[in-house]
Amino acid sequence: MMDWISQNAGLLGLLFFFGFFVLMALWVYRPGAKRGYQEHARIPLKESDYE
Amino acid sequence: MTTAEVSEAQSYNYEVVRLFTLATVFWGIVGFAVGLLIALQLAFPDLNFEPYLTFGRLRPVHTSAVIFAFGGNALFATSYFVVQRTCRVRLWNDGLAMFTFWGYQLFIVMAALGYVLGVTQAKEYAEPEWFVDLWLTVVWVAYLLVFLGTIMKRKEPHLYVANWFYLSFIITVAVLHLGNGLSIPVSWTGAKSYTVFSGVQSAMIQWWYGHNAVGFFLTAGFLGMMYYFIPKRAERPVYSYRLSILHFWSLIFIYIWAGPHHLHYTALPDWAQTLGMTFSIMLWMPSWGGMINGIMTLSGAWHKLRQDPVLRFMIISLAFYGMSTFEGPLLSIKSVNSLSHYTDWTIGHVHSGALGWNGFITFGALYYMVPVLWGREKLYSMKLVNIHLWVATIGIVLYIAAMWVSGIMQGLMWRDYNDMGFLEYSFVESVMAMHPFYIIRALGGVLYLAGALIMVYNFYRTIKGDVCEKEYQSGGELKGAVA
Repeated sequence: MMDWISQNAGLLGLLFFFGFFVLMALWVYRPGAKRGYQEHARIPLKESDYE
Repeated sequence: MTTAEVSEAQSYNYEVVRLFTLATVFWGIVGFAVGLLIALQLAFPDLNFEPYLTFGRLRPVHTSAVIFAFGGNALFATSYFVVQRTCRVRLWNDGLAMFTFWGYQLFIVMAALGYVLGVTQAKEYAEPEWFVDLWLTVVWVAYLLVFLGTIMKRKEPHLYVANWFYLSFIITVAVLHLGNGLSIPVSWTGAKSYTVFSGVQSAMIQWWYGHNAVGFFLTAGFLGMMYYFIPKRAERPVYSYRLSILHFWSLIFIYIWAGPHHLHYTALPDWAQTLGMTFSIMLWMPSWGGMINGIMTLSGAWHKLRQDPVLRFMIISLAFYGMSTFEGPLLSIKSVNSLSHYTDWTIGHVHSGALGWNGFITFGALYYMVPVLWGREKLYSMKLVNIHLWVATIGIVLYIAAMWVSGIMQGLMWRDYNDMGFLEYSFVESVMAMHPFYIIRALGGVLYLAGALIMVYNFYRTIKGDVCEKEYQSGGELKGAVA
């Protein structure tokens, strides 16, 4: 098992990082999330009207 | 302001941010001045004073002063400012925060004194010897603790993206510093040490560190500034928050692999060179994604650029960022690199990023922060900000244009053969051909330094509480009197 992992480390690394990136991109651009992100973008601006 | 706001603003730890801000300005002037001196030393070798003030010893003083002293203090100042304001809590642990200030200044002084006295590991951008490295490790762990402690007690549920960039910068720089700094002292009481790596492994570790000093110190950290100060100054949310998250992950994943492009056509295995080149080209995408995200924040409000020279500083910094992150991938292509490597083209490339991107985004952030930190309504003079902007911009253009011409000329002269198969030019002939361009470069440095001195005067008057009445009367309440 360990041998197989070390022999295929390049491929596994590629799949892991690329998979992480693709899933992250899909998650960030999931439908219906736009509003929430727009709210986050206002964090630096809303500090002055914080009660 | 409501009373709650006033009490909240008063509860932030601005004291340490003020100190880091002053240190940024101070070391900036030192770093720019030493840069000018060594530029003149290259043009006029008589200006080398042996043994302490020679080019070889002063060059690391310049690079460390501008990257770690000017840039580093700017990162401390802005990260402490931004993390408090976007988390809406006071910085964690006043004592430890103050320790990071004095500890970091001590690191800078120890490093610079070492270079002048000849105490150096001779590793680029990591010249300090082992005992200075250990001290920096202590300070850096304290920095991480202060930053994390503040994040952990935050009142804002979401962690704003600028803090992601700052945090990745702090963590990655720690990893790079520990990896690259591994060395064995010759004795416990002596300054000399030897790195544990040797040969091509040593070179690869060095440039894994060196390129990620660019990627995480000079890029990720400064992007943290960009994501806070541009929206804040423009009074508009960033163009796309989703793009900023995509930008973050793609940038940090790709940057870490780009280092081998510093070792093209060396003993480094060919596949590793190609890997470095490929990742460098891929970097173009997240870099430009981030640049577009920053510039498009002004979409629908472009008139602010005309009114506000501080915002102009920030947007021009992104233009330089875009230009140098296009030039970088280009230079990483092996066939281009065979011409450009070891020439002044590289120096020009570094300075379009450092003077244009790092310098200008820092100036923009400082011009925003200084009135806020010292409780002044506005800067002493917007006209002086505008003069600083144009003087410095002309300085950068002179610098990089001179280096493009001299660098490409150098590369072409070095590879030129005659009919007999001999080199057409001797090395000293290429050095003599550089002379006029070295003078133009020094002139660019004079302008950049002059611009920074104008900023110092403006800050001095602002902190004193002065306002240039004449200027603000005629300009009304416009942010920038110079339209």
